[in-house]
Amino acid sequence: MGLRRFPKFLLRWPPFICAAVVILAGQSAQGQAESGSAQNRAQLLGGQANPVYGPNVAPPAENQGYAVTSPNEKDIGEQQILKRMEEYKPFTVSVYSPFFWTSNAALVSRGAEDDFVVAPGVTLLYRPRIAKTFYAEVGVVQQFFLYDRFPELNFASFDVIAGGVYYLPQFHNLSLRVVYDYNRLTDITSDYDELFVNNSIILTAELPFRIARAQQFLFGVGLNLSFYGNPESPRRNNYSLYGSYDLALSRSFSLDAAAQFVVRDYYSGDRTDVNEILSLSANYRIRDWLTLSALSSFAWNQSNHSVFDYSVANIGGGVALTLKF
Amino acid sequence: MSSPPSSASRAESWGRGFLVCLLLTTTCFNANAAQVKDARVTQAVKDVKLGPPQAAPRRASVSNSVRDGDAIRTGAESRSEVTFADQRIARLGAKTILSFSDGTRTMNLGEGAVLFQIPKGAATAKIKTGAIAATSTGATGIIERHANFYVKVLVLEGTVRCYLTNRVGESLLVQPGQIIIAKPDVTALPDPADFDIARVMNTCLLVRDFPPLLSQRLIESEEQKQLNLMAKGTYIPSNLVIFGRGTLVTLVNSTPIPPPKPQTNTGH
Repeated sequence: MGLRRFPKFLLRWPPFICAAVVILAGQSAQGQAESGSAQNRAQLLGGQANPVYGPNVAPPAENQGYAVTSPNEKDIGEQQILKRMEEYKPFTVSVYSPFFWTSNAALVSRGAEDDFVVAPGVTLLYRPRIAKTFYAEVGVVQQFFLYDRFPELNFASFDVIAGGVYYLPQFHNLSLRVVYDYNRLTDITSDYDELFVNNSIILTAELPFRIARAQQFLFGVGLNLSFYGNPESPRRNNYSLYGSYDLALSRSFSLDAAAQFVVRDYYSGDRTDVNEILSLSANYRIRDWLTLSALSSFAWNQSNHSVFDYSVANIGGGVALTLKF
Repeated sequence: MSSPPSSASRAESWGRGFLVCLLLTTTCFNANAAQVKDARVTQAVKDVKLGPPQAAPRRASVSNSVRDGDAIRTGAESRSEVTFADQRIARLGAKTILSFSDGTRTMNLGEGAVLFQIPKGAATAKIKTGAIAATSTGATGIIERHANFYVKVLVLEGTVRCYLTNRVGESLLVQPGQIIIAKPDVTALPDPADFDIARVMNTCLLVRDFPPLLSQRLIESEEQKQLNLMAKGTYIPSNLVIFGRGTLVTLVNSTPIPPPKPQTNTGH
């Protein structure tokens, strides 16, 4: 099936669309979007099918206590408790390739064109445990965004991150994360010319609520404060609120839904955007190191300059290989 | 040249095929159900009673048949064993009440302790107690309940899925050498702890006072794995021991790590 006929395929197969919307996948609520810049497209599409970019190590919650009683029978034998020495693996290598049909390839307010995007990437992360609930974090992420109909939009994103995550089990496993992020976007159609460089500090606070062993809500707030960028016009600070719901239908299959509300305050001019992202995902873990995902995300952007308004839908899938050692 | 079959004849062929499949499935299901229903008392030590809960229980003896809906009760210092046609075994400790339902495929533990053995290849068996259910298609373990105070599940070999019958999604796999302890009316299953399989096997009266289990070699294999992990330092024996039933943890003198046994081929 030709990629340009993909929308027709969707029209002919309404059950597929329903299944995609209801069951299929999404992304973590880390992405952001706005008019046309590679920065926004990287943030909207980049986090998909990448399971390691963000705090993911939570110490187990305390178990409930119970009365200690004994009917004084010896027939089931003596149970000597063994202490398992957990082998913490601080290194994570992840290779992933999400792919999407996107309704608005350039994130424009008028004349939107759909396209097919593939975004292969690799993440190397070192997260040593410094204290019982404190982890340092150093990593690099390289990802490519390749468009089918509009190759002139192709670009690459390179990140270096360094920071730490602190968990507070006494406060419902609240996690606090502080990360320095160096981000460089390059135009891969013209010898990797630099499109944008940004240096920012990312602060997040996340509060998980486990309903049962298989369900969890998570609420978070985030600040992404840019302190140096070149060129100046795309530079901005992001203030976000987000929430997610995870449902494990089996040990291998899970559904995730996430929503994010972001205010983007640009340094250049008086531009301020408000952005909403809704994402759905279904993840099937074939092996501990191999995950297949169905992904979808929907984003809306409202700006005080109407030329930057847009909406976009992304539907696709992804495969991720993750090794920890 | 023969003409293509008409839609009517195709529908007839499909219908016949469907009926044959239905017949085969029903036959297999009924045969399996009949096999599962067949259970007998194979050990009865001291005070063991058998019968439906609503009737006066009669004294149980070896080779008594156990029917769907029956309950078996043991008194103080008593033991019993029920063996099913599919080689499943349930060994009851003292002061235990165990009833059978769903064609004896489901065992309901009202009180006491049961050692269960579910051979691989047998039908899925379920043991319910309180809000907790344990199912497996191949495992050996122990389940204990005391009134409304606690439920304890130990797995000696194989994998047991424990879940709450009144909460969707609250499910976990308990692996060999893992133990979970929870209240019978628990609303969230706790994370499992680890225990020394060999020590349980050496001291458990439901093992020592009965013939060897069919899964003995599989349990020994799990013991060996634990010893290897202890030698590697993955497991460290603590000085915390639960002596018998209950949840009372006793602090004892630490024991030295035993050297790993030489590798043996347990398959022959």
